[in-house]
Amino acid sequence: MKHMIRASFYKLFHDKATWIGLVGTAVWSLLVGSMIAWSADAKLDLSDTYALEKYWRDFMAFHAIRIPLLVSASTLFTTEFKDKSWKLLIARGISKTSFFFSKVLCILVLTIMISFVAITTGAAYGTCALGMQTDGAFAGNLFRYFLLQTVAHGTAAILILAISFLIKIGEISSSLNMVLMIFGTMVLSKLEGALSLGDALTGSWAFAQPMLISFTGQSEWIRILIVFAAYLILCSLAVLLVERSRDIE
Amino acid sequence: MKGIVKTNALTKKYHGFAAVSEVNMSIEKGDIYALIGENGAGKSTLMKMLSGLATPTSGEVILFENQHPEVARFRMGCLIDSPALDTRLSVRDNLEMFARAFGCHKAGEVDRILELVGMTKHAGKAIRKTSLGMKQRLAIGIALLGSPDFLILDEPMNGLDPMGIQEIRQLLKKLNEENQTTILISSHLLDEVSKVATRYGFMKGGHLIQELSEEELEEKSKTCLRLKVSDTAKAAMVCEKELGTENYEVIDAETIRLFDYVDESSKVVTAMVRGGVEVGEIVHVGESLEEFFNNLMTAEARQ
Repeated sequence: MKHMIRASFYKLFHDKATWIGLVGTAVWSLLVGSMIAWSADAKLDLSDTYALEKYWRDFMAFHAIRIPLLVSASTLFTTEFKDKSWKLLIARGISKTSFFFSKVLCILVLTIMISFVAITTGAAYGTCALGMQTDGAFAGNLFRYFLLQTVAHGTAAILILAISFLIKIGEISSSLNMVLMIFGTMVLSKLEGALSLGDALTGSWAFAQPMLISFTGQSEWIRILIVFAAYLILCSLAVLLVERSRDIE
Repeated sequence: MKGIVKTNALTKKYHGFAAVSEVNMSIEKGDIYALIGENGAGKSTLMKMLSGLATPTSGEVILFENQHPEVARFRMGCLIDSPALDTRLSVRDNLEMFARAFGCHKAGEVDRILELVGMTKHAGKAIRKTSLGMKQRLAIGIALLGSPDFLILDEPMNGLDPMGIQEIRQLLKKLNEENQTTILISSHLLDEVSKVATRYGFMKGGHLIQELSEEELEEKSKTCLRLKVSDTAKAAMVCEKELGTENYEVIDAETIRLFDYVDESSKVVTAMVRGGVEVGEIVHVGESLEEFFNNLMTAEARQ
């Protein structure tokens, strides 16, 4: 397992797509920051705490991280299937389990990197261009919110990876991930409404997790971590069960 | 001899169609085993099962005398189908990445492989910008990482120019002679394969129809003149005295095989008659590997 992890990280850091993805995240974050600041209902005084919270919620939960994460993950983690280079690994005795978990670790590290680049860019843009001012307490909340968002996006990243593994054709898995990301929460919300289920469906839906985190709430760690662990276990089981009997063409 | 691979009734079916059927083969240490067959004969499927890429429908594969498959496969290098390389990494980065994954990343290993497959000056090139021949060399290089004991090479000469084919052939011979590396190779270039192989397995329709050693095949495909003569002792004397060759073989009381003068049958007949030997029949026999293969396939198709 450790050899495969070393190899996966070598690939992650030597693949130009990783760095292009991070630069893209920074550019995208600038665009998102501008859009939020210029949108009608955000034209509030950004020195106001409520407006600041709204800025960061819109920035992190809805836009800045999820799109770059989806694009980067779809690009980075499907080439081995497209190039069929993973069969050289399996033929050399590396188990599909080791291969999958090395990629899980990589995608989680990628999530942290993308989240970090996004929040750094967002903060720099907010401070320099929008005149954002934050005190120590707000910065502490922001840091906590950043960590929660990273875990929540990590949950989505695991689902993205599992779908890429199960489908293996990059174009199809990326499209499906995009559809699930955009319409999944919407469809589940409608179902919840129709069946009077409260938030039973969206509450456990990976792509909805970032939107469920409140900026100032204190008791969300357990729920977020439970959902993360559940997705990690279920997605791993699904991938490994399917892969166990699958041939590599 | 130490067993490297043994299969027992190995079968692979896809939707009821048997791509490989009841194959029993054994490869021993030091063999260069050539797997020969037409397209769709089941060679690649058999190789995939040996390398763990395909799960057998029935039967078993025993590697390195019953070593656990995941452990055994660390001792194997594979090139199956087209060169499967990470197209977004450079030549060197591909080797670096696979060396780490195989647990054989140490100082100089990647340079050794680059040198071995003649890719040193292309090390920094992106895979997208390399030719098929270069990709093939690199894929062979990846298979050689960590000096495996057993190599599975499916059509390794594909895409190589004549010089490249010669270099790879020499490399395989060197690995076999110096490191006792066992090699399973499939190729359409029968003449090329025959220059390195020590054992042959012929496949058709998913079945392994014949296995031969290098000597057996040589014997079967040796070209010679087969003569039916009145006196084989006299005929042998004519060979030695008149024709000046000892390269003959007396088969029975009236048959002799002459391995020289193969294209000069009239000269042979004249010498025999002059030596007082009556020649009842003279036949040119023997075939190249290609002819042998074609005849084998035709005979199999008739059955």
